[in-house]
Amino acid sequence: MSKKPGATQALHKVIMVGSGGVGKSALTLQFMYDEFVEDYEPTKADSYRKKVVLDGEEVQIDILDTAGQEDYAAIRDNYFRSGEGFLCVFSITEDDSFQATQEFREQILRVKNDENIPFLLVGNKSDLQEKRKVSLADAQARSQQWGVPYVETSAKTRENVDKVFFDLMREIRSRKIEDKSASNGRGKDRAKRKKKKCIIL
Amino acid sequence: MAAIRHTLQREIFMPNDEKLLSVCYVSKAYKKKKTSFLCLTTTTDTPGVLLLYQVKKNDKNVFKKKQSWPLTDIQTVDSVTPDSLDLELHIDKVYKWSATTAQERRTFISNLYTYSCSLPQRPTFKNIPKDWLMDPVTLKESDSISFTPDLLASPIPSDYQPITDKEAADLATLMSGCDYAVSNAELFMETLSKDLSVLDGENVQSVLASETQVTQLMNGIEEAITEASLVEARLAVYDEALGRIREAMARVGQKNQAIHTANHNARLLLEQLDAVITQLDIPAKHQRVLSEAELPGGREELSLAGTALLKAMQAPLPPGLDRLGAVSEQRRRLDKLKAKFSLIVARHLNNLFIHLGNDIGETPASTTDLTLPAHQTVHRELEPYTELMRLLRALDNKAFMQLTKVYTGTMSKLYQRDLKLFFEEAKTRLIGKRLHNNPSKSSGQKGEDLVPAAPICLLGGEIWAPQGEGAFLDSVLDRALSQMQPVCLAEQAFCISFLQLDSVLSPSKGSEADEVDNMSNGATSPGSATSTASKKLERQLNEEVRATMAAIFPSLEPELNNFISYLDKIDSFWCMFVLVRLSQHVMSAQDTGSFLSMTFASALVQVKRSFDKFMQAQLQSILRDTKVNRRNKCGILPYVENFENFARTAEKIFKNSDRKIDLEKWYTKLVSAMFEAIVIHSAEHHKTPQEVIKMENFHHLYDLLSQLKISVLDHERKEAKQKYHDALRAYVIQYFGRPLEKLNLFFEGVQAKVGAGVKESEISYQMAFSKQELRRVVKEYPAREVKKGLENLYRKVEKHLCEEENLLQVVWREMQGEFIAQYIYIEELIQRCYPDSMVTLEFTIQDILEFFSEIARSH
Ligand SMILES: Nc1nc2c(ncn2[C@@H]2O[C@H](COP(=O)(O)OP(=O)(O)O)[C@@H](O)[C@H]2O)c(=O)[nH]1
Ligand SMILES: [Mg+2]
Repeated sequence: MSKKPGATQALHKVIMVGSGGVGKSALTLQFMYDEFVEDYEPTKADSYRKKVVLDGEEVQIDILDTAGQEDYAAIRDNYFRSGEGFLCVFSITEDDSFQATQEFREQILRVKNDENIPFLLVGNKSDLQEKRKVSLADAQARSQQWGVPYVETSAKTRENVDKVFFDLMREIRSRKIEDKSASNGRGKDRAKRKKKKCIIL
Repeated sequence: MAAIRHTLQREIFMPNDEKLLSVCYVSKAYKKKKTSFLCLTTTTDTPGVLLLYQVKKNDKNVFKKKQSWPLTDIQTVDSVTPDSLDLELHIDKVYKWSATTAQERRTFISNLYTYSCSLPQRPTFKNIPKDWLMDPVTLKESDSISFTPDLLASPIPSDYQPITDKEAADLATLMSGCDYAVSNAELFMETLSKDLSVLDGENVQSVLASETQVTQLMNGIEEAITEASLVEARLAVYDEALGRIREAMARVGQKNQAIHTANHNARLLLEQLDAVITQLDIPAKHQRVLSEAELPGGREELSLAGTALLKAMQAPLPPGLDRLGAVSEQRRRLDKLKAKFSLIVARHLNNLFIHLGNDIGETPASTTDLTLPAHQTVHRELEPYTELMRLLRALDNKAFMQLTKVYTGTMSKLYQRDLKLFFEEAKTRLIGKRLHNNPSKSSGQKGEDLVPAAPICLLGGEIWAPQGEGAFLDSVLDRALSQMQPVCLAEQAFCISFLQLDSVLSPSKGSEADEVDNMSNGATSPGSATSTASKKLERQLNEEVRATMAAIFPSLEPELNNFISYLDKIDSFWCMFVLVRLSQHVMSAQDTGSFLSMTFASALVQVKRSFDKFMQAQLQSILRDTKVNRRNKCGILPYVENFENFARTAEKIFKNSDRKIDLEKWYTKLVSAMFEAIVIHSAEHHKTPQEVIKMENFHHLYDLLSQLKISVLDHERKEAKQKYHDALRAYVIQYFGRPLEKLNLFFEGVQAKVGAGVKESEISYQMAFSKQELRRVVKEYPAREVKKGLENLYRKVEKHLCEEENLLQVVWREMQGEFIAQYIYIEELIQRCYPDSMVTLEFTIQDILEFFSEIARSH
């Protein structure tokens, strides 16, 4: 309370989304505390904050780890709204979780009303290659279709865990810089930046 | 045997008209089991045929003849050796037997001989003593009784007695003397009796004639007796004479012995005197040296002479000899020499000590680091005198003690000065930086008074900015401690050898030494006694060394303590640094009993106390100093916030230290104090609800403990997580009800009635819970109102929660869930308790979700 670090320090708000059991909490805890939790404890929502050095600059990251399944999707509106970037996680061992990313993506776009919202498609549990159900090609195809990066991670081996968080923070940071210059110039209207929307049948 | 003989006669031989003459129980030689009876028999018809039978007893105990030989067929009878039991008969082959008893064998062989005499061809008897073999001719009946009891014992009837050859010859001669004998027996008899009476008469005559001879013989005997008694008397005289001589001889022997003893004693005495003289004597050369030597030049000679003197003075004299006038005189002379020696040594060393007391000590010229000078030169200078010191100690303990005092006195001044400068320099270095940073303060050398102690930064304090540069303090401290070590150890090693601290106990402690001696000699279990005795000795030595070191370094402990307590002016965490660094030095010291180690150890005890006091202060400040702020939001309490830096600093200091356990004990105390304090302080904020304060602070603490990963606090970490969840739950439950308060109250009432036993279908008949009442309450919550209530709630939550814990989304998600759950619950109760009332809430789930989305969009 004596210090007021927030005044100058950048704060990036990241939301973890994805079906239950895909490893959102595991990724968060691995990133936060360098630990891997074997047992599965369903989350409702939990918030974490950490100071990190992003490309030489000390910043803070807020991570909101969320429940996978809600009875009513609208409940998610509020926290989607609060996010500046999204890690959309599925498990490469479970096709359903991959299919579910579609719905999450749509809701995020709707709530944020922004096609270019910083967003990473994350295929977790890459250490379980022998149980893979979602092919790399399918996942890459979807990420290309959405125009977002695709990264495979393992919360267990820590593979790419830092990468997804840092990549996302970089996207958020560049978006903020972009927004600043944009708001200095013409009016800030995200709808104008909307991409051509894909309709899936 | 007699029984067997009888049985054999009756069963084997009688039926065949044979008569058993002699029997011998034999076994086949070398085969003791194969036994049989050798039987000598004769046929009863006249003249009898002599046969030798071998009879055996078969399995059924019946005797059977096995073999028989006519006695004439036997060629040789061999007894092999007279006193064995062997019996060899050469017949058709050689039969080897052995008899069971020697007597039996002898009898049998004798009988064989006797009976074979009458044979035309008798066997040869080999290896048989003459007296066994008796011609029956020479035998009288009486002889054979004793000689061959076997024959007599035999049941052989004696009605037939063959006349022996000699008898026959005698008879023939007798009869040939009388031609008529055969024809006229009567005349022959008459002649014979006439002869007999003549012979009788002659006999009587000769008896009568021998009487004079007998008398002669008697006289002779009497004479012999008198002669013998004469000889005896003579012998008695000789004997007496001999007895006297023996006594004289014994006396001579005793005298001889005495002379020997006297001689031996004289020799011994001579030896003793010789020993005493050589032991007590000191060569003139040494005497001169002892009184005139000059130091340092005469050091070698002096110590040689001193050794001789010591030897002479300590020479073990036999008891009593020391009372000799000459001995005491010599001793007096030795004492004088001793006094001279002592004077020379003491004077010189005294001066030398004082001279050396001005030593500046050596400091490596190159280094600019903090350095405590060593005094190797002093030691090097004094070392050659070690032997003289040893002699002095043995010869004149008082002078030695005096010198020791002088030495310790001078050295203590030296070290006192060194240590003072050393620690002052250390302090200057420590505050140098500070003064540098604070140039306004005077650049005084006596920085001590100018620098106030760094205030301890308490966990409970609002502002937490610990002062200090721990790493710098630590490096100066480490340097200071490690500088003291070699100097102290060098001095200690020197003192042990120079002041003889390792030699077995000084004479002044003689009684104790004796005690130790007695213990090791007379104890029943020598092993344990000597070990305890040696341990005691070791302890005593250690104590002596320590006492000497304490005399040389009197200022070390106060200077060190002073320096250590000075450190609190430099750094708020000073006692942690010192605890870790000092204990590392204590632990790594090789000799734990040394003066320096003990000094460090006692300083360590002080520091541990300071550390505990420091931690206690932190602990107390959590509750005592904390003031809940007056701002709109309470947020994170100061100690929860401060604990992060506190723990990170402490962890860094105690990293790898074996003192970590001391810290960990305090961690648990601090954290549990914080748990309690959070609960207490959460009730004290004027705006923020209690649950929010608990939720945010426990969340913060949980996050912090997860990051710190202090293993002893793992339990507390889980506890914090649980408390955070509990507070979140409590907060959500307490506040979500607000937007539908009246509805909630209404249905809580309904629930209470149901709980009290009212049927759900009959609730509507209760006055307070009639359909009308329900409609009225429901009317109060049109969709518009609900939306407004939710928006208010959201705003309120936003106002309660602090930004840094970032729990708004977590709480709101929870509240949305709870709100929907409550909506469903109320709908269900209406369905169940007022089924036909057609009353429904004036808003739907869809409305609620729409409100949620709208709230989301508007923020
Ligand atoms: N092998 C493996 N298991 C994982 C990985 N990530 C998560 N898990 C496990 O999957 C289960 C669900 O993980 P969790 O993080 O709770 O999923 P969430 O519901 O998305 O938060 C847990 O038992 C984890 O141990 C991973 O990368 N590899
Ligand atoms: Mg989870």
